[in-house]
Amino acid sequence: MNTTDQLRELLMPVLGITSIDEIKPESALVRDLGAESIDFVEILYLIETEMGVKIKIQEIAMTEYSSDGNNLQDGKITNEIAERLNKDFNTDRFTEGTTVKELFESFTVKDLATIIDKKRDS
Amino acid sequence: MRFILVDRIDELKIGSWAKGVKCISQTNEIFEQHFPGYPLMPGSLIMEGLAQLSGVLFEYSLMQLGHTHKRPVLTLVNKMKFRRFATPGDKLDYDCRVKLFYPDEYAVATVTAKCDGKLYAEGELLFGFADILDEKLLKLSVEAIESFLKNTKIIASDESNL
Repeated sequence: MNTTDQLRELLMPVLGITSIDEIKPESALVRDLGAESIDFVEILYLIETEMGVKIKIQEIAMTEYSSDGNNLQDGKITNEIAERLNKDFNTDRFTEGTTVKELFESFTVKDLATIIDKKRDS
Repeated sequence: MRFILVDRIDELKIGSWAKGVKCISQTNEIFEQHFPGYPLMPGSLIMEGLAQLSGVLFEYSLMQLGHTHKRPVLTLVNKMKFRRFATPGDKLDYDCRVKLFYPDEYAVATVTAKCDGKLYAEGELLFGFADILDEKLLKLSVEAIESFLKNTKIIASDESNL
């Protein structure tokens, strides 16, 4: 089973979702699946105990990309950061002008799987 | 009012463990209803006592680590089991051991309640850390911790445990 499918199974009870089909790889944890900050404690704990990978909440909030003041213009990410995000997460959905809040809210199941796979490989 | 469900915290090792006691008394009003003529301490209240012990351990440990504006919030109860009935006259020994402790994120404690060496309850409790934004609340929080730890032997942490 690949990491994304493992995650979809793991997220079902945490988010109170009964059908795995409702959790798609491209579903955003906060915006689509209704995850709240308190759920992330459980999600991170389950990933650590069941998948053996330690992830920090900051990684899900993507502060690495937004914490440096130079990466932001009026609280929005620059084109350079959007390109880096698209490359790192193998997508094209990030664009210049996305706010830090939107980054967190649009974080998908697949993005989380990407972080887990990267950590496993390193 | 606040329901304090641990009578005394005997020992606390910063970032590692805490031991406390809960004495169950027949005069507790809860036994009027739970149950008439057959007093049983509700398992949920034993669990709350264990959560309070763990909460004090984590909050005090956070303070000692310099995180003064954080409060542990119970977020998940895992694998909680109640093995025996606790009844008036029982002195429950509460034990909390830190399983995971990430001061910036969350913590997990393994807890047990025993009476005369026999296991009454056991489980795993997860805590998130909420920010205390109000100075007045922070003062209340510090006072509560001080009152909990008035008669407690505090043991310094081994750096390697954190």
